[in-house]
Amino acid sequence: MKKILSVIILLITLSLLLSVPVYADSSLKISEDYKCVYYQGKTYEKTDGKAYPINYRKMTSVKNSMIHLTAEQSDEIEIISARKSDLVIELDISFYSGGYVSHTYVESSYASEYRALVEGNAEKVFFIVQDFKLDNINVNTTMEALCGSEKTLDNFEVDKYDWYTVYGTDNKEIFQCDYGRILIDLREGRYFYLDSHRDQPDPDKVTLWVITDEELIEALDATFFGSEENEESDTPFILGFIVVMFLFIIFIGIPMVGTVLGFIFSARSNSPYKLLWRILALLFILCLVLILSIVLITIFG
Amino acid sequence: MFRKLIKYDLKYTFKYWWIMALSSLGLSVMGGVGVRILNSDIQGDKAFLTQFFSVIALVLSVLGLSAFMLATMLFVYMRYYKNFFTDEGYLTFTLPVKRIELLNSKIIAAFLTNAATSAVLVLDIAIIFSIGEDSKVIPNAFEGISELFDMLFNGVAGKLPSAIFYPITGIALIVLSSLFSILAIFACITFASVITKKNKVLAAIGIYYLGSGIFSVAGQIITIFGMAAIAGLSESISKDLVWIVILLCLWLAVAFMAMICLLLYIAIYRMLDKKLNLA
Repeated sequence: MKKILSVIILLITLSLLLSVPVYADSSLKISEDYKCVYYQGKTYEKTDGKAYPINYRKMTSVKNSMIHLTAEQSDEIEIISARKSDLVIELDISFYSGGYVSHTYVESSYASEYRALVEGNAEKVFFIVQDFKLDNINVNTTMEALCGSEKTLDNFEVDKYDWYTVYGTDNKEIFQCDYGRILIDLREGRYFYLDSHRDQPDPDKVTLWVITDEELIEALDATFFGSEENEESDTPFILGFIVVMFLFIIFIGIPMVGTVLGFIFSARSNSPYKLLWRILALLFILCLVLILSIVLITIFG
Repeated sequence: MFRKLIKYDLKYTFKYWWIMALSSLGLSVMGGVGVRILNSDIQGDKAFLTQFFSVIALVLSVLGLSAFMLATMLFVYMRYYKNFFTDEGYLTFTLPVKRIELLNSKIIAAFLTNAATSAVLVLDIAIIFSIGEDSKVIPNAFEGISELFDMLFNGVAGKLPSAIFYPITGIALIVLSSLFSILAIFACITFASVITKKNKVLAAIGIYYLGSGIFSVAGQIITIFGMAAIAGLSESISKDLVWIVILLCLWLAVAFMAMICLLLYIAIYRMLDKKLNLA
């Protein structure tokens, strides 16, 4: 029995001794055609560059001594640096010939998920907007919600609009891909989705998706226009009134009073004060005109 | 006579100014060498000593440049004070020129001196960086400026034919802020000399601090309410119009600065014209 146990223990020890160097091998190797990278027993496949890693801060540098190049690669590569995270490896390579490339590789087990993301079948779709309180809001949605009914518009039909980039990301949120744009028709309050990857053959026309999903429209309404109930509860009426009054006094009242006083002093004074007061009054008028122009452009422009 | 007044004011200041300007250029070369030594990887026994002297050179050059700027300002403002509010004032105000010409000559001379000093200081800093840094700091700075202009031009191109107004507005703001600083100090000196008989300089310094305190509080209030207004309006503003609104806001700043400068000018002239009592 003791002999059997000893043999088992010996076998286990041997197998461990054999397996450890395989997994502890932290050298990084690159295939001859640069399409694959081998690191810690795993294979990483080159991506086509349409999606990019989200969180660069999570990436750590791979020591140059750990990068093993073949003789041919050493002859053509001048500088190489590598960074890695759980499922991603990035290589920056400068060649003696003067060329420079930056490749991103994903672990082969993750490759199918990456391809799905690039092909437009992301696990999560979102866009980040700044609301009227200047806060960043992350709006999560789906492709089904974005693609309501198709509509072709004349390029100048929507002349006052805002837009935000729509991103697709995988389940683990490692890569993200630019999917398109949310367009907000500021005049009529409509929302459109413009698919970046869709061909637009006619330069004067653009084909969009009109967003019809009620849940998404409600979320967009709340983000861009805010609900009146919330505004009332957030900002007391008196405080708003005081702010508006101060704004009126500072930006309208003072220039108006300045203009009137400038003209009064100008009428009463002799040269050269007459000219100076008149110029001052004109400057006050210029300020008033500029303030009113800014207000009018931002409201009706 | 007005040209002669400006000529004499400039002659007085530039009599010493060019010596200080040349010294500042020399000091900036010294500072640049100090930076170069500090950036280089010196090893060996004398490394500490070399680095110590490099730091001393750099500190001396920074102090020298600050002293140059301060001394120029002192020359300009002391000349104004002495010419108008000490015994020299009797002579100055008996000259066959109008008081407004006297004041204008002082303002123009001060502005030209400030402009020349700023140009020399920019040159000093360029020398320090070009000698001290191996990297392309100066070309990068120029690249940054040209990128900024590109951004501004591209932002308004096609929507506003007056894209050229951005640099003009920038120059106007720089000129007006320089004029404002000159007029503010002239106003403090004049006001102190009108209301006090003794310790006029001390009173002028006190008034300057009080005035700048009030001005900064007023500025903060306007900024807070201005930001509130912009935050309120930005809700409805389209991205296409942002550049036009920025341009209008800059013009508003120019008009506002011009207004403040004119108010200070009227106040100084009024005090010199009606309130001055040198007896």
